[in-house]
Amino acid sequence: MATLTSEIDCSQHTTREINQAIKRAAADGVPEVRLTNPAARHCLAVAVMSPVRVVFDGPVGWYCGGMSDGVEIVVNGNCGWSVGENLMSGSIAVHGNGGSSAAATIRGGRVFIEGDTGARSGISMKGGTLIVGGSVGYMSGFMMQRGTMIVCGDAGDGIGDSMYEGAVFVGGEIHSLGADCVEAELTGDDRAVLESELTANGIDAGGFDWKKLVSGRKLWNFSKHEYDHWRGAL
Amino acid sequence: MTDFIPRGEDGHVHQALWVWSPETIDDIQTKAELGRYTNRGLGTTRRTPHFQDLTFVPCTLSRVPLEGYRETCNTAVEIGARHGATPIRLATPITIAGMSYGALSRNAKQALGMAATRVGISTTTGDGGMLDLEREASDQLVYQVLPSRYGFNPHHLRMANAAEIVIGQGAKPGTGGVLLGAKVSEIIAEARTLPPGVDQRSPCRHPDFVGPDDLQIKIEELREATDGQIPIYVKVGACRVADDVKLACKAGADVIVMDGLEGGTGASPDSLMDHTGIPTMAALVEAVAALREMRLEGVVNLIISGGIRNGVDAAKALALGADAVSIGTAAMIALNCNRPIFVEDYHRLGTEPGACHHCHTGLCPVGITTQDEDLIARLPAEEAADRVAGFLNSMTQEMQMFARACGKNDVHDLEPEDLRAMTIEASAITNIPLVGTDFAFRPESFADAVMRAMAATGSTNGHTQPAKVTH
Repeated sequence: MATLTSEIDCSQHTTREINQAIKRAAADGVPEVRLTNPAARHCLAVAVMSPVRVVFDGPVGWYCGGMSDGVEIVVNGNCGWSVGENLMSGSIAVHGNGGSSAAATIRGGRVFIEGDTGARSGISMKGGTLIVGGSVGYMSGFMMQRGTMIVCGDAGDGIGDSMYEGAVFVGGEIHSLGADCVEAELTGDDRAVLESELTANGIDAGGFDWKKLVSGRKLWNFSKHEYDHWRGAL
Repeated sequence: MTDFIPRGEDGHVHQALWVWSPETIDDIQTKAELGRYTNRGLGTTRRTPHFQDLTFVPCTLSRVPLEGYRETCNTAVEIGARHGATPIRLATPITIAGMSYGALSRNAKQALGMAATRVGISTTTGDGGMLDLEREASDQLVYQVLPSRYGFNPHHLRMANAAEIVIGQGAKPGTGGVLLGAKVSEIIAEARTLPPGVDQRSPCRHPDFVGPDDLQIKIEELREATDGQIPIYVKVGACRVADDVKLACKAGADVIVMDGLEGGTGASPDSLMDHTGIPTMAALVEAVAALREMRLEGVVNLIISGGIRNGVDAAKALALGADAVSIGTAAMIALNCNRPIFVEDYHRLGTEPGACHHCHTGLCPVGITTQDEDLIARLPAEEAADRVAGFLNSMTQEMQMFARACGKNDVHDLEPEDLRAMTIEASAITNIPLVGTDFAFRPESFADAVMRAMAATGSTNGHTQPAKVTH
């Protein structure tokens, strides 16, 4: 098995060349690819389907790690919109802030953003875990279907709007709940999940006043007798 | 026995009320009972300006036709080579439109794939992802990237022959899909990561991008995910057609699928189907003009869909500038939709064969738009595929027949000059001369025609001057 770390200076290559090099390294069993000068370029490390550690020293643009399966990505910098979009499994850690739609529609794996993220973080999640060390923008967790979203800071307006299933944990202030999003009792199992997920990312789960948000399930099936729930949803 | 004629007390015949027609009364009372808008499947009920309003003017003395049984007429076309991807190769310029596994049964999806493969064309996935049976059955499969991303799997994307980013559909542009709880079975719910039995409302916006500049980055992501090997389509519901075509081209689309007002759907509020969008024929004309303006005609391929019923409609679409047509509802009807079998089940739904649009109920009597195992068994995939393949072949024959009659040895050589408009409306929309005239009723061309007439007659007001009489 190869043991060398592969190094790529992004400034010398096209995005296609960079992504092909990452995929080649992963296929060859290289355990780590280290990339310098990413310069907020879009679509880096997209659809990497083999287990390889990819480290970006610098900011990345949109869709970093999108559609990947089994990859481990570390970004030492900020990232653009839709980091880890549709991630199947693996992990992405961003040691900076994220843009909007962070971890959009992920189906598995774990996305960790050390700082804040923008609007619609965790939108349409179908599984997996999104952890935001800071605050999230409006309509985060919109139409969440499954999975876990942990927000250590504040949640903007409309958090958890029209969730089907899954759970959102907020450690800071909630500006407003979205349609059919309700607060639920925090169980011992929930605390164990928070402890486990946050400790792994160097955060003490005990330092927050956690609120758990879930679907009120009033929008699952239409009822004319509960029209007030639907007024804002339809 | 005579029909009942409603009369007033004084015996005079009641006139039908236009505004408060029986249909309007029923609509109000149905909504009062449901407490919401009404949903149904298929498509619009309104009459639209359509390819029906055009007629071919084949060869006579001024043109020479081709012999139907002796001279070849090419139908093949390649789609999506703009950026060097392996193009989709259509043996005949037809594709099967995206219809979801969930809205359609697995047998229906499999049969469509088998038929497409037999004829040498492509078929398309839908909301809910790629069905294994569908992938196996389809030589060329277009993988849809929809706002919901239900069942979206990058491994499936990499198995696809093209990717289609769906911005909207003609039947209900600007809105998301609907799959009522009756059709969200355990299997469908798992495929879409939803609770079984839930009334599923798909989002109308993509989760990871918003506008046209973002679309450019999304297309780049898809190209990176597929190593640039497959074409990227962008499907749009026809609204601001010229703007959307230009924006999709600029964003990097290889293929634009323009879906007109007459497009079908598995379930939608019927008010949307009747009161949103631009008819297919009009959308096609606008789309071609926009591509021409950008000098991208033939570079960015154009597929038109929405209400294409047969090879005649397809031939007219090609003559107006489409590279291919996409059919959805017509393919379903070829499967067996609305066939007068299991009639008692139609009656249970409160409808009749030939008038059924109850796809949203999940109780399709012929096994197409259902997830009920007993109903699905009524649609054996092999037989259904034979019917669809037969229909696709008939479409090809019709396209060739009209092309040959117009003296063309390639169906893509059909052109507007081969057509005349049957209505002023169609003439105004297409800029094709109205039958019996030599000008179209577009404001600018009509004005030109008047000016020509005036110049020819020396008239200052457009009327012919009376001949001078000498004694």
